[in-house]
Amino acid sequence: MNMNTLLYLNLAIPFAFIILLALSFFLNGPLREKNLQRAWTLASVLIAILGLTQLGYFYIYQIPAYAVNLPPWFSYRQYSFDTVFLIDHLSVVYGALSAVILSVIIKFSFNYLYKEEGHFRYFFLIGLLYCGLILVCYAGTLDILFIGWELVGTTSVLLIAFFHQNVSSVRNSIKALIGYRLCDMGILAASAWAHHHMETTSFRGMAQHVYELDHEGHFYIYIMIGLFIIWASLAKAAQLPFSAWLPKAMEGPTPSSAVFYGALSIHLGPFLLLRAAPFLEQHWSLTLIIGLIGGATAMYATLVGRTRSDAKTMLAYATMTQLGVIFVEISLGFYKLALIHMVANASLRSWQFLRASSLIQDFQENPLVYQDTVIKRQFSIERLIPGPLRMRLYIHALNEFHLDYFTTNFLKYAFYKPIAQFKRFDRWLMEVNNKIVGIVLRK
Amino acid sequence: MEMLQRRISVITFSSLYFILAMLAFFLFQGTHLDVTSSNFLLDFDLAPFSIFMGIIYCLSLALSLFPTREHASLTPRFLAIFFLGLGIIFANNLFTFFLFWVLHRSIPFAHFVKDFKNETGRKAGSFILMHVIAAGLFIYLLTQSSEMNLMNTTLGNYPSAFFTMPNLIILMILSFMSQAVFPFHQWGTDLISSFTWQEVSTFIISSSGVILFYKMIMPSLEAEPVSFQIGIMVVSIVSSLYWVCLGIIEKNAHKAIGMFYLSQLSLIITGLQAGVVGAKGALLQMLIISLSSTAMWSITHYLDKEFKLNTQTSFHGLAKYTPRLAFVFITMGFAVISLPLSLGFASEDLIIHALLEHAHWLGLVHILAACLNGILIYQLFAKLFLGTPKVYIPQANFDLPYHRLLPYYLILMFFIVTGFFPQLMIQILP
Repeated sequence: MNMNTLLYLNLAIPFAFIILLALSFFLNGPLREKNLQRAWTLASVLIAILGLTQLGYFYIYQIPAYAVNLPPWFSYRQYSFDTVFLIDHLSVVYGALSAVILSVIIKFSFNYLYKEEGHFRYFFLIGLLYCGLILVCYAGTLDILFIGWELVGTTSVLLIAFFHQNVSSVRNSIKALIGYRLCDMGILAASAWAHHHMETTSFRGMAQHVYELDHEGHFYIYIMIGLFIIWASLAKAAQLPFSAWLPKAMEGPTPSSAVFYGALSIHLGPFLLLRAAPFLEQHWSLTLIIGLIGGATAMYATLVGRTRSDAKTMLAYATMTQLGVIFVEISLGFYKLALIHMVANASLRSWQFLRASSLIQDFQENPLVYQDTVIKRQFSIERLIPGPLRMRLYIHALNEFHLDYFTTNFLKYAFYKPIAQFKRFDRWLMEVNNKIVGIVLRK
Repeated sequence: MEMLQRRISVITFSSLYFILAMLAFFLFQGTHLDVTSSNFLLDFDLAPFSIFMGIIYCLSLALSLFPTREHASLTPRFLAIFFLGLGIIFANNLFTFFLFWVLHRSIPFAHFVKDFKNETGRKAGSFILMHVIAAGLFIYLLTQSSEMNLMNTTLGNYPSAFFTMPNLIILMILSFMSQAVFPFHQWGTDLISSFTWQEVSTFIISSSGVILFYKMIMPSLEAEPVSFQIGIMVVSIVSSLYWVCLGIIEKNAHKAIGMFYLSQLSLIITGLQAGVVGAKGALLQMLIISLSSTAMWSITHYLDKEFKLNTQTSFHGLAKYTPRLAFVFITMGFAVISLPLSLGFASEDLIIHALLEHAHWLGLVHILAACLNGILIYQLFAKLFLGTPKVYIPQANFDLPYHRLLPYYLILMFFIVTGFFPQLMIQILP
């Protein structure tokens, strides 16, 4: 068994499992809960073993990073959809992390969703999420990455609306979808432009073509592709200005919140930046933008997070803060640190999310609670801010700096109003047509 | 009894046609059947394309009738629209095309003129006006081709001398007008508001604009200046954006699906202009949207009939009563908006890349239109199927029985299998 075999197994097992689940649904309806649990136990153990074996194999045998080129998925005339996978530190570490966290989440979900309506739907979507994640992890081209990216986004939206009879969950899922779709445009645009101008969408190939673009006087294309990639990473990582959806996405089941917004999906933003780092780092303007966005989000999220009163929302903002810091690390070129930070943050947050629902019990069981121990905060950074400014900041943070209000109004004025105006104009034109035809027919 | 006979005859005809069409498709692909006669020409110089469109058209008809048992909708008017649509698909010279086009349009035309005289009837002046203008333009083109002795010429073999700039512009207008492409779109709203969904579906899926474009205009476009080609692409992309935006703010679910369909058709015309690769993607997309939209339309109609709910002003929460239909609806929708691992992904990918070859900024706008289409479909799904049900219905399950859901499932399976292996479809398509 070598790395390639492990990669193929890693890709094939989740897809095969999902196809089997879908077939069983088509033929017999949803699987019974016990059978579903058995099937998932087997699959998650396999997935975890494979992920960890690959990680161990990669580091024990000191395998250098390399690309696995497969025949094109489809092609027509001069166009072909290349299938390239990458084996390197990033893919192997994130792949193992995904496998382990998913296995834990699956185990947790068995009890959490026991006899819950829609458990089959939940487990099917989680499986689909893993397929998407594994594709993103090992993708060697923007095209392949986009497939996984879309699968993760779609499952995320459907899981936010898991409790579909709750109207606010549904509304929030629509909001998340709008953010996702707008940012997914970035990755599709980057892929299409790279294909057109560099004749490759592979991450390695793109980095090598920057010099040629510069030499041909098309440096703006490099900047545009870079901006598209950064744009694409923003919604997944809930960075400004696409931060408003994250706290609202907590409407789904807790394990899905943990896997999506604490651990895996949310870290795909920095993952994309790390993957495209050799390309992005070639001009300071792009790294500066990443740093500025990350810094601003970290500030915003830490301030707002301190004013929240429920555990899951606080955790959402804490995750957002850390992601902002990871963005800054990437912009400064600390790639290994960023990767370690991602792994640590993902592990911690998933644990915190999973424990969030039993927080009160944890608190009651804490031996310190019923003793006379007083836990005092020795120093608070807020005290460095002058009093009136602190108050003002607090009020703005309480209102989330009106981000949701601005986004809604932006959509209203940039989209709904012009369309409504245009519709009115259309109606007016139809009335004119009616009058003309009326006159002619009467004559 | 009469109704039963009619149903049997239609079903038999559709099945026979389907089998014949499949046979012809596989036997004659890439060959030319030159049967030239008088001015009336229904031969198959472009046989694979016509048969491909015919298959989609008949499958859509079958899909619109069988799962939800909509036999009562088989009115003479609907059947006439259907068969005349077939005539448009197979017409292969300008005169024949015009003949079927006029007959096809005359049905809603007569309906609207009658309505106009009736005080309470809907005033559909845009439909009447635009079609009168279009008929005038057609007659002008026919006179031109008659002067040049081209009445017998098949649509794809018109000499370049015919495609002077005014003629080309007129043809473009006719193609766009037939497909309700912006700014010739207003009749689309009239039609969607006044006819049954099956009639609208059949009317649109006959795709007269796409057919005219593919058979006649496309071969000549390559010789035209790039600016002209880009101008046409801009118009069709703007049209797509227009329809999708209108769909997002539309309150009526049927109309929203109609707008979604028209938006997708505009994207197809864009794809057809973007070279051979784009055309291949556009044809794939044509297959997907025709089947998916018909399925979504029929599901919406069924829900409307069962629950008397047709608006998307609030959340209806119907997934509680019809979980399988909800599943079919959303997966069909996702297939159209190019969800990876469905056939729509490959088709959209081909279109976008071909479009970028021609004008990369337009490619970006196309991506925006595709993204908005995704939002429209999910919003529609959410409004119909998610949320708290407004009324308590004691009968828990209103889903269609398994055997009636089978056509939907088969189409879904087809989208997914060909999504995993898109090369199969790319090779088979004309």
